[in-house]
Amino acid sequence: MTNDELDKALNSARETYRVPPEPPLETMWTAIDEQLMSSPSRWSLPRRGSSWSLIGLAAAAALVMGIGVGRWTAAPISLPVNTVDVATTGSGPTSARLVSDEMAAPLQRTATHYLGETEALLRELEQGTQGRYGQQATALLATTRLLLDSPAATDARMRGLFEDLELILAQIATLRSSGSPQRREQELNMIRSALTERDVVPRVRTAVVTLSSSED
Amino acid sequence: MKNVATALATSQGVDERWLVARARQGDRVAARQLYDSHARRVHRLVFRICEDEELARDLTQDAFVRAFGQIASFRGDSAFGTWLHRIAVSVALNAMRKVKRQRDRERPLEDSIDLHEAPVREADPDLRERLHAAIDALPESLRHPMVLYHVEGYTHVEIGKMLGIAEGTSKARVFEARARLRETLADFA
Repeated sequence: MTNDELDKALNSARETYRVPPEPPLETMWTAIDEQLMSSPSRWSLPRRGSSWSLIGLAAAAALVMGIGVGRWTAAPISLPVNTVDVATTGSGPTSARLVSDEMAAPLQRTATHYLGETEALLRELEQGTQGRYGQQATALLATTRLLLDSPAATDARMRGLFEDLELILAQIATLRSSGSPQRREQELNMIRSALTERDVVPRVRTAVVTLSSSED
Repeated sequence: MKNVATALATSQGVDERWLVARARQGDRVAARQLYDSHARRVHRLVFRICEDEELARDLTQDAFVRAFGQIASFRGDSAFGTWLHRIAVSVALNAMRKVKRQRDRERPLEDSIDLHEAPVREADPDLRERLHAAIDALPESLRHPMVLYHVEGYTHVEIGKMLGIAEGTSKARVFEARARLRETLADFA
């Protein structure tokens, strides 16, 4: 057998040699998550299942949501997405900020869309509608973090809302790996309580309305 | 919503380094996303080393537990995947050493029970099966570099780091493995 013939055979082996069956990824993740939970790890999200963890969840939710709690009704929300700091370009007065409509529109639309989707998810969760919260929350969580790093989060109130939503969505996202239905329901109830106490959904709704009206 | 997230992710260049940074801060969701990205690949890699479905699952889990447990030590010199695969190979090889020791202890007993029923591998005319059998028959010191290089597609530098050997040693072992395979499969010329 020549080298070329062997190479050809080995190339085919990439697809055929010891091909594993489809692994049970969800089950495996649950085991990984539990092992990390039981070790002195630094996972920031609450442990599942213990009363201490639930107390911790409530405390964390209350603490974070207390930061930048909505005063949406006090003043209209203005997204600073239309602005470019000209100080960095050296083409204008240091403190001046110019409007860039080309940049503003897509981000503003994205933020509006995201908040609308988030509001729908949170309302479903509040009302106890059965749904695949985890997957939706994971997708929304990614957007939340992107928005937190975007000019949309320059506004302090908007940033506060995004940060609150980040925590809430992260908690919802981890529900999918929760063990028993009872634990899942316990965690859901805790999230619902936090949502109600801190008026999260009305704040999101107000933000959506304000952003939508500013698009017109 | 997925499209919006995807579009934003693309436009703002969010990548794995960001997820690693979040996981390093203890973010389970980021860790889960890293797991989702790499689990199949790690599982396949481990399975190719141990060829045992249950063991491959356990070892994949062990690899991720170890990786997330040590993620603070990941400095980002290489891609997260490379670092993770190195851990997975290390976990798998250590486990296989234990399995081998266990088998070695058990073998004399099994042999004494019935030597006549030892499995006999019949010659298979099919090149693919013969090749797989020939790879399996290589000693571990040759088989692992061989599989990692030719089947998994790692470079000799990566293999060296995974197996704790020099790059040149990896090359030499793959060369030797190829020579043995050519010899074994000579009748396919």
